[in-house]
Amino acid sequence: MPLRGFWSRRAIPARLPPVSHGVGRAGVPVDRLPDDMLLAGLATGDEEIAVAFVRRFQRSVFATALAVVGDRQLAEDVAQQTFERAWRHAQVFDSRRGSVRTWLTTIAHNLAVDTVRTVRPVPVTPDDLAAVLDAVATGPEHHVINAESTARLRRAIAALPPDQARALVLAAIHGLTAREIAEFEHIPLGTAKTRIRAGMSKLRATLHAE
Amino acid sequence: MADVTCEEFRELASELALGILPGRERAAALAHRDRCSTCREHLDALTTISDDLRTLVPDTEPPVGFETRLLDHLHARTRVQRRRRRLLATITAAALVIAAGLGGWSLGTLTQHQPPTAAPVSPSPRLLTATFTADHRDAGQAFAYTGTPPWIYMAVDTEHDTTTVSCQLQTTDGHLVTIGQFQLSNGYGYWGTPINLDPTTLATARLIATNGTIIATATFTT
Repeated sequence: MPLRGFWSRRAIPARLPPVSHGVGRAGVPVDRLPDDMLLAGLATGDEEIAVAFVRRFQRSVFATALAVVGDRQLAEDVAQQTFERAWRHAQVFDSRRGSVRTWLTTIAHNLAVDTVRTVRPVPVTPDDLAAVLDAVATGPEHHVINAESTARLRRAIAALPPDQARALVLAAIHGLTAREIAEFEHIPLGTAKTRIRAGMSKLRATLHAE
Repeated sequence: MADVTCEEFRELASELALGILPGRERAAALAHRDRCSTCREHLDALTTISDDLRTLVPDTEPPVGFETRLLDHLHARTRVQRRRRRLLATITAAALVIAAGLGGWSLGTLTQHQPPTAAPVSPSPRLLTATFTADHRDAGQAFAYTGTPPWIYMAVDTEHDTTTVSCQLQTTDGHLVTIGQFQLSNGYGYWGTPINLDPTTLATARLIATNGTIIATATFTT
């Protein structure tokens, strides 16, 4: 009976993991492993890989959680749950559907939304929104690998009408529903839904056209 | 909510992709998505945008001590998992011995495809690499990790239409070990598994089709 691998796919991502030509037995330091290999290694329970994985992603996971819950202690709890979930479910990660970073931030976002709904209904303040909106539209590129696609997305957001950009940030990053956005912005529910729909539609059209 | 039409789905798709659609509407929209490939593609495109939006949030330094607390937690969970695996392995081995009625024969059979014992691993884990070649062209990479547990990972891109391949490792002393099988799709595939041997003794990794043909070989340099 064949052994079952800890990590197998029916197809590989669009490109193979980066190749370290000429490295041979000298080896590649663990902290320089590609993201998807680091995640695969995490599933084996290797402690050194766990350290490298946490160090690489802890800031983005924590930031994602904090944007939703608005409380550093609560965000830490969410971030811890996120890494534990990644450790338990590394096998289901599918690199064809996105990067490890996107996968992790989506887990963190969903956990944070679930958490915040039981704590306080609208954790975001107008100041929070303004700061995040500015950072989203103009922030520096932290992740060099995705810098080009990230820059295109930032440009597309910056080109949106401000009310649509605000609605998208409130929904995508702070996790507010259309009803909560309507209350936050003091607008009718239908207007909030229209802003979300129009904003997403324009982003898609802009990104598709480039 | 009743079944939604494609037009109604388009009205809901953005909120669904953003993960903010309330329960009843969400259930109806998801039911429609499962039936309609066009709407599914539309939703996938929006979901990609939604996921990418979240990655634009600037990184934030977690509280002091977060990394240590988190790693302690993960390591504790890992140790519990390993204890459970060892217990399960012990129970399984004992059951096999009892079932066969011949303890030595059973254990010998159980381990015949593996080296007698796990070799000691390097105290400083490294990642060894080797390039797969097939029909004299590069066909992917194999990576062997020397930590604990040691493991191997491979990504291959071949022109073979084989769907199932076995992976066979050969050590520098000529020992052959088949470590498992995995699937290719249109010649592509990637796979990894823990291995019960010292990665520093690896000579080659071979991918073998079900008809016995070697479709790719990777040689670890010495």
